[in-house]
Amino acid sequence: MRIKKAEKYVGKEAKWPQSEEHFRTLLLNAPVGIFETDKDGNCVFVNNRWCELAGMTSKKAQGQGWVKALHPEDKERVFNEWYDAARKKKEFLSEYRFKTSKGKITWLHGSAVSLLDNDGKNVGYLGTVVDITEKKRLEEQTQETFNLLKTILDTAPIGFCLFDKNLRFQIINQVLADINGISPENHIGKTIQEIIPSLNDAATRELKTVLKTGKPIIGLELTGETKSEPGKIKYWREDYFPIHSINGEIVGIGALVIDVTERKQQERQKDEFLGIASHELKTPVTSLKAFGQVIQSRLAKEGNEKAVILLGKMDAQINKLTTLIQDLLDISKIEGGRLQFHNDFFAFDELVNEVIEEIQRTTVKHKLQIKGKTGKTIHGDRERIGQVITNFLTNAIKYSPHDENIIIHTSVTKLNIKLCVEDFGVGIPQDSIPHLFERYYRVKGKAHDTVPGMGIGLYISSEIISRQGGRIWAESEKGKGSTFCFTLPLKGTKKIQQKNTLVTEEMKHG
Amino acid sequence: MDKKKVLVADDDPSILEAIQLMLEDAGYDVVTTVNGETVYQMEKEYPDLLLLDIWMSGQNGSDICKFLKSRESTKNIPIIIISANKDTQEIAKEAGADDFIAKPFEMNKLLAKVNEHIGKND
Repeated sequence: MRIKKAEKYVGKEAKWPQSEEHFRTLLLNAPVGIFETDKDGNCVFVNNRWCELAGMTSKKAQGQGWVKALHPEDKERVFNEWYDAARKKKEFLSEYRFKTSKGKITWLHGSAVSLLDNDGKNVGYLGTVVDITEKKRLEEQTQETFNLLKTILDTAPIGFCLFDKNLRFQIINQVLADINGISPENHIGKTIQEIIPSLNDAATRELKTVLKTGKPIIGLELTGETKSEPGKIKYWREDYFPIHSINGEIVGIGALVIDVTERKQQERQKDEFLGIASHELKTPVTSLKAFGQVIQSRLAKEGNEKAVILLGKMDAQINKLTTLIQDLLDISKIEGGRLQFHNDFFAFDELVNEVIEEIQRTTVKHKLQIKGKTGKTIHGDRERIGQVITNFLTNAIKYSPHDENIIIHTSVTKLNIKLCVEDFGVGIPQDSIPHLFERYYRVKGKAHDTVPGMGIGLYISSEIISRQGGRIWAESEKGKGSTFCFTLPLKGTKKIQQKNTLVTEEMKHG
Repeated sequence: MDKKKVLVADDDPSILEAIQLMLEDAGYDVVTTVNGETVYQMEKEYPDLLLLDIWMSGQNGSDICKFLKSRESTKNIPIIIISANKDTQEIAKEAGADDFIAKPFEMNKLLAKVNEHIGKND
């Protein structure tokens, strides 16, 4: 910086300093530390702020005294940088600390420029020091927070990574790197395809969806093989969520990954167990029923009517037992998402008549009457829908110990077929109605306590109907009776249960 | 007139006995076995219908079915598969079975199916 002639200062209120005294005052009281040295680095002038920061008087700072203000750990570096700047004829810029004799440490941003004479020779240095304690504190805090986050990412027992807008790995934690069998560094910049080719484009497709919709995908199940254990099929549960910048655009996608291979194995074991349990339980029941029917048929031939009736009652009980076993197995299947449907076209009225006939045989007291018809063929699981109708009818019978009429209404609308079972029995209290289709729910109340039931029949029925694309509901008045209904779509529009779910607005706001 | 012969294969002796009683009362000749191997190795005295349990203690009923249906000498024997699991119906179809019945079954339903399929390929 050449010492220039003072230039005219243009401004409304401020007056350019007129005297040397004025200049001195300005320099002394400036809100930054100001210093001047000769070409050998001996201090010529320091202002008040400098003295404050250095914790020494200007007298003490003279000559080489000012060097004592430098923090011993930074002294060497400061000098090196200063000489370097001087050599390169550049401005000296650095961050370093002052340490006062009392031990107070202050972080500073220091800068200095060479003072040159008219021949361009260095005659000294002019510099400033600015207190950057606050800035340093914020930097430290940020670094601490960053370190904390990194520790959390690395130690949380879940795989995490961040994809950039081009679906390339930007950040990845150790857990996920281990899952993939490739070091974290070797993930950066690559696509999922390159890291786990066995996924094909399953993951990529979902990531692209998140990019497009800006909505997270939760609970995605993927399967494949990784380099960590080649040849072994693995299963992962993944969540993808978009990362938005302040102005709303998507800058990346975060992903959480959990290895669920073991859980899948346990599920398969449970399935196997259930299959075996089903077989085991049904075996003695099968021969019980078979022997019973053989005896019944032989005694019928002999004309023993009384015995035939009794055996009929026995058979009905065995059927109840079978239903209970089936219900327990179904519950477990529903819980595990393993309830499968076998859909086909079938005549609805035929099924209804079949079930009514079968159930009518179990009761002499009650009269099952059908009203209306649909004349329609629908697409669905005939067996399961029959199960629902059976459930409605057995409930109607169960809860009408005193009244004999049960009416089955069937009808068609433009889009659906509808079936209602109406009984005139004990009815259901109003506050129970919303809970009827919940698992294990049993209506409380005197009339109901004496009626057996596990409370899962309606739950299973509601699961079946809703997965077949229909609606199920009940109306009732205590003491007067109940009506249970379901609808099923006409055009085989079965909802396809997806394992991954797009989180929609409705789901977010419940 | 010769009675039609039914071979029943199931790993539970009680069920075998009950089915045998049912079928004999209905006028059929019945041979029973708990052993899947016997079914594989049947020769000459072929039954007019086979009632086959899908799961027979280590033997896979659908494999037996596929095998019989692929052999020239046995492919015309009607096979009805029995299973405790209703989901098996599709597997039965794929194995080439002529029909399927779930356990526990109604006697009249079993008899109706046997009647329907027996000797139909003669």
